[in-house]
Amino acid sequence: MGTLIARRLLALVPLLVLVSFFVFILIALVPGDASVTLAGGENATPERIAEVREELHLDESIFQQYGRWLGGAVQGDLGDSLFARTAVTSDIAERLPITLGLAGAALFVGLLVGVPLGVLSAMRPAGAIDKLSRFGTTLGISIPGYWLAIILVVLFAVDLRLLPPSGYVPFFENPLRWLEHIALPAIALGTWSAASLSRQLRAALIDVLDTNYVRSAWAKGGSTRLIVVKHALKNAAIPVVTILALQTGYLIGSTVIVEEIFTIPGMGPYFLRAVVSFDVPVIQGVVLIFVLAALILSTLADITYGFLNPKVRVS
Amino acid sequence: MKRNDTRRSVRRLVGVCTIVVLAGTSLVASSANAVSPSGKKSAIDPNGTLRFGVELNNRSPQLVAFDPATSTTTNDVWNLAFIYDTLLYPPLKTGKYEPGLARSFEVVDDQTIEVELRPNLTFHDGETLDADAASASIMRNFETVNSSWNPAFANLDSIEVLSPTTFRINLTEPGAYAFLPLLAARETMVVSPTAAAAGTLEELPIGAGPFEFGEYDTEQLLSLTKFKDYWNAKKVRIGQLDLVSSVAGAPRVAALLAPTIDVGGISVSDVGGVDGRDDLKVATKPSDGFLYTQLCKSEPPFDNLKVRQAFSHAINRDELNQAVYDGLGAPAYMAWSEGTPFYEPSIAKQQKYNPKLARKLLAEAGFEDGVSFSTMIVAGFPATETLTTVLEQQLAEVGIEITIEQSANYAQDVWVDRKTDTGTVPWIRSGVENTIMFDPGFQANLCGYDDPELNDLRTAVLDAVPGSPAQHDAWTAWMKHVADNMLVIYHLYPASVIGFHSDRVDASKFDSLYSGPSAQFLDWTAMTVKKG
Repeated sequence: MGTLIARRLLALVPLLVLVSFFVFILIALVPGDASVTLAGGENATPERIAEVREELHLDESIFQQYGRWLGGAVQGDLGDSLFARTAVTSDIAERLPITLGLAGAALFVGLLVGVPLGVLSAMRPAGAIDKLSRFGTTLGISIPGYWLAIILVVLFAVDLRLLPPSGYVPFFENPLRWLEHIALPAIALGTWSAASLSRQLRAALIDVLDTNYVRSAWAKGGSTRLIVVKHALKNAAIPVVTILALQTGYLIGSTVIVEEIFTIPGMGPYFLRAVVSFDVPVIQGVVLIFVLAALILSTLADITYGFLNPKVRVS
Repeated sequence: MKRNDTRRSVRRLVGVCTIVVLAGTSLVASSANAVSPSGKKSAIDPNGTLRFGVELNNRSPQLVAFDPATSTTTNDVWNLAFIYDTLLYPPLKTGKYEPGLARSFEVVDDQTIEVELRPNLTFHDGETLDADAASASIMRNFETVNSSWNPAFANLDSIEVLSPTTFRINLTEPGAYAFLPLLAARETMVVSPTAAAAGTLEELPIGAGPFEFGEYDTEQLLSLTKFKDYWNAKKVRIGQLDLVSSVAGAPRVAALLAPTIDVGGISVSDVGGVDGRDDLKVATKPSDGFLYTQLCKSEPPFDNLKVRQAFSHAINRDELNQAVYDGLGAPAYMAWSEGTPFYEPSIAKQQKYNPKLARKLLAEAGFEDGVSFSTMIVAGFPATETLTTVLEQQLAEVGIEITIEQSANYAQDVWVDRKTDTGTVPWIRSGVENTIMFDPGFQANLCGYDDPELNDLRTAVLDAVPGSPAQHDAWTAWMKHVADNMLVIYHLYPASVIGFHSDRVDASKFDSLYSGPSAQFLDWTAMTVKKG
C-alpha cells in the first residue's frame, strides 16, 4: 500500500510540470498581455508600455518566463499579481479554504441526497421512487448550476427571504452565518453532484444486487439492512468512489461561476479577474492549484480502491 | 387488479399532493413577494445607513486600493474620493473646474499653477490639512513609481509652499492647463502625513474626504461613516455609506429585491425585473461617456471623407438607442452631450440619419457596389454587442458591410496590433479626455494622428480659461473639425440606470456625473435615507 501511495505521489511531479507548462503556452498563444492596461490604458504611451513589459519580464521569451516562474514555484513562490502586486501564494492561501469549504459543502449535499436516493432507487427498479428519482436526477444533471443558483436566490432569498442572496461570513467567525451564506451555493453546486451520484450508485447497486452471493444472502433470510448496507453497498461503492473523486475536482472548478454569483471571495472571482486582465501569475497559480487538487483526489481514489478491494492492492 | 388500482390511486394522490405543495409554495412565495412596505416616511434620517450595491473588485484583480499612490487604475478615483476627496472637481457639466478641497486655483503662466486650499481643513485623524501636507502628498505620489499615472504628471517639477493654505506647482515645461485634470484625480489626492509616514494607508486610509473609513471586509463590504468636519458636511445627508459587493446583472437585482442593498446600478435589461414593484423605483439618465467607433482616416476605405460621412448618415441613432438602451440613452454626435454648455446643435444636425444621402455619398466615393470593413468590440460587453448587431443591419441597408470581431484584450488588439479596421467601444469619461484619441503619443490614438491643425485646436481647448467664452469657442472649433472630417463616429450616450427602495431611500435625483456605462459610481450628494 505504501509503495502504491509513493508511486502515485511521485507521478504527480512530472504531471504538474507538464500541465503548468501547457497552461503557460496556452496563455502565450493568446495575443497580447496586460502591459497596455498596466501602462494606463488609453493614456498609455509606447515608451511606458515598453517600460512595463521590461519591468514585468513580459519582453522575455516564453521559455525564459516559464523558467523564471517554475524556479519560484518550486520554492513555493508563485509570483506577484501584475495588478495588485500581492503575492499569489498568500492570496491563494487566503482564498483556497473558502473554495474548499464551498466544494466540501456541495459534496456533502451530493452525498446526503445522492446516496439514499440511489439506494432507494436500486432496491425497487422501475418502482415509483425509482421513476421519480430518475426524473429528478435527469433534471439535476441537465440544469446548469449558475441557472439553478439564480432560481434558488429568487425563491429562498427574494421571495421567501429565508437565506441571504449573496455574501460570505468565514466559518470560524460565525459558523451559523457561514452555513446561511453557504447553503444556497452548496445546493446549486451539489444538485448536479447528487443527481450524478444517485444514478451511478443505482446502476452499480442493481448489478450487485443481482449477483449470486446477494441472492444467497436473501435466501438465508438476511435482513434488507444487512444485505444492502453490509454486503452490496461495499462492492457497489467502487465505481462511485471514482465518480466522487472526479466530482470533487469538478466541484472545485465549478465554484468559479457560483462564487461570482454569490459574491464569495474564494478562488473563483480571483481567477475570473485574472483571466479578464491577463494577470498571468494569478492564472498560472490558480490553475496549478486546481490541477494539483484534481491529481490528489485521483490519487486518493486509487488509494481508496486499495481499501475497498484487496485485489487492487496486490496488483 | 385491485392492487394495481390501489397503486394507481396512491400515485395519483402523490401527484396531486406534489402539485398542491408546489402551488402552495408558489402562493407563499408570491404572497411574500406581494408584501410591500408602504407608508409615508419622507423625513430624512441624517444618521441613516445607505447600502449601495457595487462590484468591489470589478476593475482589476486588485481588491480595492486605499492608497492613491499604489492604486492601479484611473477609475480608482471613484472609490478613493469618498475618503480623500479631490482638490478640484472635473469640468464635466459646466466646463469649469469646481472647487473641492482647494478653494481656488490660478494658472499663473504655462508652467505654474497656484492652488489655494480652503481654510481649516482637517484629516479624519484630526491633523490639519495645509499646504505642507498637500505638497508632501503630491510629491509622495510623484516619487512613487506607478505606471498608471496620467503622463502629464511627469511634467511636475516642484511644489513651493507659499502660505499655510497656498502652494505653487511648478512644471518642467509648458502645460499648465494639461495638468489641471490631475487636480481632480488620484495624482494629487492628499493623504494624512502621519498615516503615510506610518505606512498604514492600505489598512486604515486617512484623508479629508466626506467619509471616514469604517471597515473593509474583503470583496464583501466597504463601510464608510460621515466625516462631521468635512468642509462640505452639509451636503453629506447620510450617516453611513455601505458599499456592498454584488455582481451586476441578476445577482444585483436579487440583492435589491431581497433586499440586502438599498440602491444599485442595474442594466436596462434588468429594469423589467425591478419596475412595477411598490417598494422599488428606477431612475435613469443618459451618462456622460459615449459609445463610438474609432476609425483611421488614412486607411482605406476611410481615407475617403465621403465614406466616413456615409457611415455616419447611415446610422439611425434613435433606433440604436431603442435597441440598446430601450430609449433611455441618448443619440451622440459629438464629445459633449445635449444640456452641457459645449453642445453644438449644428454639429448634431450635420450628421442626421439620411440613408439616401449615405448611398449617394458612397456612390460618389466610387463604392456603388458597397464597401466593407471590420470592427472590434470588447467581449462580454452586451451594449456594444447589441449596438454593433443593429449597426450591421443599418449599414447593410446602404451597402456597407461590417464584420464584427470580439476581443478579450481590446487595448492590445486594436490600439497596438490593429487587428481590425475600426474599434467600437465605450469611452467612459467625456470632456477634455476625449482629445486623447487624437493626441500624438497616446495609445488610444488609433490612427497615429499628428495633424498640426487638430493639435492646435486641442491646445486651444486645453489652454482656454475654464468657463470662459474662449473655452466654448475652442471646444466648438475642435468638435467641428472632428465632425467635418468625421474622424470618429459617435453613436450613443449610454443609459445610467439605478434601482432603489423608495420606502427607505430617495435616489431619484441621482446624477450620472461619473457613472459611465456601468452606472457604478454613487452620487452620494443626491441620495438620502428616510426615517423609520
